[in-house]
Amino acid sequence: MADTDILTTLKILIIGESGVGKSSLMLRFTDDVFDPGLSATIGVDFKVKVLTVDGNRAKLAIWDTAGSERFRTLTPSYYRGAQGAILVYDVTNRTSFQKLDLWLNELETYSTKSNIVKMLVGNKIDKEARVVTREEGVKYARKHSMLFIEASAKTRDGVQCAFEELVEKIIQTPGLWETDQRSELRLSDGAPTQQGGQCGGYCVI
Amino acid sequence: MASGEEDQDVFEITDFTTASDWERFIARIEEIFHEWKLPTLQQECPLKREELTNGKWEEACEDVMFANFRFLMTRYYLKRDVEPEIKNDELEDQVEEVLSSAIEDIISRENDFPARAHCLVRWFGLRDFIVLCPTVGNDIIASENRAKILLSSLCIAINNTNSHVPVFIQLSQRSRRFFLGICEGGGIRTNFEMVHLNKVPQHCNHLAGLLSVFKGKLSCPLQLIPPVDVTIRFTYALHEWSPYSWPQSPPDISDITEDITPSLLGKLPFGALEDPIVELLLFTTWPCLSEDIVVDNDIHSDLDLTQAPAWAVKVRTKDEPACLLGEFLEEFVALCHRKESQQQLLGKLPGEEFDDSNEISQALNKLARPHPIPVTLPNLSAVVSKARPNLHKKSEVSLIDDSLLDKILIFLFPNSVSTLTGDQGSEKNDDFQNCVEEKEMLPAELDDHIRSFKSAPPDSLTWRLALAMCQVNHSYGGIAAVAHLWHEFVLEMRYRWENNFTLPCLEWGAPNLAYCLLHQKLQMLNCCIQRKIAREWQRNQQSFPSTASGSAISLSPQKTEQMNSESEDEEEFFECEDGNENSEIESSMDIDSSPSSEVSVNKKMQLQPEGRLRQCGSLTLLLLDEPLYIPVTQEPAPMTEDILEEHAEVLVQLGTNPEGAALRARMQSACLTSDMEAFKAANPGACLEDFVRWYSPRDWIEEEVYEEGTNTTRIEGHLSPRMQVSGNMWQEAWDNSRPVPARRQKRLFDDTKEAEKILHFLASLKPAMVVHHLLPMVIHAAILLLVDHIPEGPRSLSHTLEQIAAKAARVIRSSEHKYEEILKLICQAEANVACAQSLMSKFCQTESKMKSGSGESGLPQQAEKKKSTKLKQLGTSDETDDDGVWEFVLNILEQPEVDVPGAGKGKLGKLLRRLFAEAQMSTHLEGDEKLEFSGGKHHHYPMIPEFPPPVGREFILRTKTPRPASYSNHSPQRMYCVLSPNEFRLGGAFSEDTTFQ
Repeated sequence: MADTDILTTLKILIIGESGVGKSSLMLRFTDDVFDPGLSATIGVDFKVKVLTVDGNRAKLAIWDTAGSERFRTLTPSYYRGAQGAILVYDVTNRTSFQKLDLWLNELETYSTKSNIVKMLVGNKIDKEARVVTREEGVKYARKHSMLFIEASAKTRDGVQCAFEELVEKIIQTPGLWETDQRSELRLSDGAPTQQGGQCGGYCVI
Repeated sequence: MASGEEDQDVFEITDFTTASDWERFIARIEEIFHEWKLPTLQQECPLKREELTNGKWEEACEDVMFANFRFLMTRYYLKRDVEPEIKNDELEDQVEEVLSSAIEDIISRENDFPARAHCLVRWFGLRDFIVLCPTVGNDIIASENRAKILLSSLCIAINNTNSHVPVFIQLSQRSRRFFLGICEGGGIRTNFEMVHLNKVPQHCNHLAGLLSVFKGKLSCPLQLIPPVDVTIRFTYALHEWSPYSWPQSPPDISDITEDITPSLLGKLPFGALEDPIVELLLFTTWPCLSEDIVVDNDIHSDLDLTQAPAWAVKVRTKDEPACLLGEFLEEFVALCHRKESQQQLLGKLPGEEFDDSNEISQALNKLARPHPIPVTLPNLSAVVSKARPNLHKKSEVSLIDDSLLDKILIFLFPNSVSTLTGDQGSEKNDDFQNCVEEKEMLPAELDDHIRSFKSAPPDSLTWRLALAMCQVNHSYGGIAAVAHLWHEFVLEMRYRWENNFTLPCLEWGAPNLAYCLLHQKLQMLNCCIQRKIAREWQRNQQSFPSTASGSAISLSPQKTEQMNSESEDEEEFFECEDGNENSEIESSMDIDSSPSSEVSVNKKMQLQPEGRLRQCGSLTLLLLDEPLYIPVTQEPAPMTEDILEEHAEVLVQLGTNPEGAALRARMQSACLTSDMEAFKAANPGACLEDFVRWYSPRDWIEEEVYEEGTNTTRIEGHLSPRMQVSGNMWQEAWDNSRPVPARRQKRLFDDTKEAEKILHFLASLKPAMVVHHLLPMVIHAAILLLVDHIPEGPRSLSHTLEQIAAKAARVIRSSEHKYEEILKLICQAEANVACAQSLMSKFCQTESKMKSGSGESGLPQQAEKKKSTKLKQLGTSDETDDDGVWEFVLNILEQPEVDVPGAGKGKLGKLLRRLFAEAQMSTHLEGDEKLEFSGGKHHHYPMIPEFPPPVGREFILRTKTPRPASYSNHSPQRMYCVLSPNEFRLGGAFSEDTTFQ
């Protein structure tokens, strides 16, 4: 398989309110298409794409989740093991921005990795009726230590960049994606080691 | 070879073909010296105080062959932080002028008696030296001839390379540590010589004798010999701790069997079974005396240890003391590697037959007694003992006896007892919920790690099971007992499932994926039981409509229990319809109605809404002017992580093409369809728009429309474009769904199937796998136990625990569980705590005895009490009233050697004297308890010395004299002497001027 040169497989989540364009963002990134008639996601959907960042090839398993409230009891179970999360809001819809707290909380509760990399994406910047300013987005992202970008799945602006930034950040985060064996080595340094070869203690008698 | 380096630029054939083994040997040594860059080594700044102990030592190793005799050449050197100043090339040419740092080291006074160092460092104070010794398995160098050849070879190599580092050869057996060595540099040659005997010769048994040996050896040509500088250290050992009995008495196992209590089962044991302290060494030092101010000869000695200016203490501990916790864990972890199956261990199990008969009787019961909820819960042990006779007949292995088993089961399932005595089962569960809520005060870092353990909440059923298994394995029969208890546990699980008793001590609701798989499975089983209870209750309600509305509030105890502890989500199943008119229809309805009959009913249903939960705000249906109701819906199926993974795997397998995505959506639309059907049932005449307004409000777009005709604006809504696309998933699902209230829908969650799957999973686990599943809880409990001991442990314990916890968190989560390493760390930590406890109790008991002024044997209990309160105080706040004893104990545990402030006259010094004195007492006068000791001054029995004879006496003699002739330069001389009962060693470093001989 051509997978041999792949550094790692990363699980990326896309979450956010219903209708903010999560599936569209994913499809724009994976298939470079935009379908205005994309039906509302039921449960979760899934796409794969191989991405090269800084010469590292990473296989991304992107999990697109339904935003509708009723699915919210089901979807968090798929948060397990994700290394990155994209929180999406609609710049033309203030409620979708205000609900971000709830999504962050959800992520906090259900993600199994404590240092999961989060990215905030303000979608639909192609539309004219913007109600959430870029500054508000920046401020919110800074407050919750996330990456931030504005994008449009329709015009393709910022989409590729968003995924690349996220992956780069994940790869730079120690302990997030490495295999267990690697971190094993890292931690064993801390153990006190007896100085070898010297007779310890009262060695005169 | 090495010389080739020097002739690099000369075109000249170097012929080694005729070289002898000896030449090759020397060449190889030179080569290594060059590799280690010894010839260009610069003089370093003098050593700082204690640097030999505290600095970082490094080693380098090379093989050397002499013919076919293999030697190992090792360089030991102190890594200095301060880089020596780089000297310019001018100085490089006059390398001869550079003094060896060894010359300086042997007369330096700053590093006498390093606490932890190579013996050559201790004897000669060196910071950099090389040892040549035969490799292990080779002959030792015993003959003088061979020694001379080796020394000469080294001497040649040193001179050829201009290396100033002292080189030693090791002679005789390794254990004798007999070295000879040589060092040259700066016009001085130093010979390192040694005398090693088993007995101390009479004339050398004191300082005076040693001085005369030293002076004789120097044979100083001067009339007036400069005074010799003397440093002395005496070592006293204390092994006798009998007045301070080791506080931890081993638990008597036969006792436990008698009065085993739930509290005992729920705890892991802790502490060392034996005193982890082997001996305490007291070092008394007189540093840098001039030879003429101290008298020590065969008649008189000035060296009274109580007057020594410096005292230091070191404690030797057992390497791996037998500790309770460690032992428990080791035995338990060891089970992981067992291969036996349940059947092999227990013989053929009666499980199936028993279950069948049980099931039949249950079924009969149900027929005979329409109320499916028994008024009282049958005694658990009664059920168990029904099963047991079979078991006993068929197995040959010794198993847990009945009464003990009952106790364990009561510990695991506390509510089965309380239900008998009254309805306290629910309270138990509430208690549990509360205690889970309680947050212990842990250091943040540690808390984080412990939180990320994939185990189970403390005191939950899974947790209790793990601890009980651990106990059973240790005390009642090993793996067979584990298999037995597991068998009983699985039986109980099945019994509870079949008889509608929920499991105690588990949080309600869907499995928490943060916990271990076994815990999730039990939670899942609990979900199944709850759903089953609800289902049967509901069915019961329907078959007795008269009780439906009236008695709904005052339900049976079982029901109340459910209501109390459960969140509202479960209530939907108990929900009574608001209007009584519904009950009639319901009662006439067949629960498992076939689709065809359903359709026929549908027409009637068109007018009769059912399954309403509540009104959805002020929304009204679009087509009719009726309020929009939120329906009662089915809960999504709870999932354990393995099922979830399977599920995700299936979803992934569908691929990433649009067909796959569609199929994926269809697979997941069961829940959507169910909700639509319930919605239709609750809101007859509703359309998709109504559903979307409740279900996905963002897909309902409202816009103000200005009407020109009336000059007014009105709000008009429509579905979002994506919902309007014809043939989309939602539209399709809506069109295909029929109005069916949640309770008559096909169950999204088949509790019967899931429960059977879980019971099968549990029953098919091999004992080794059971242990494997339980280990996370055991490790978790062990770490929490250690955390409890942080106040009594060494300072580093908290940090150590952080490391252990971090490691454990990773191991528990990783696929390959390497618990052994964690186990080792836990054992170590436990032993460290035991050491601290042991030392503290020894010191505190002595202290309290001294304070109370008498050493009567009746006091220890009081002392013990005092100790424990003291420890508690220390635990809560770092009080200073412990007079530095605690501080001192902690230092002893951390540092190789700890100075006693104030030496023999300080508070701690007095404590130590007391310890020694009492040990002396007990060795000399066993059994005589009337004797008293009140310090060194008033000896009632002067023939008992306060201290035992020293186990070691060390002397370092140093001076600078001209050698070999009176006109030679002054060069440093040193002799190190050790006198102990079975060893006598003199290590001399004698220098002489190589220029003015």
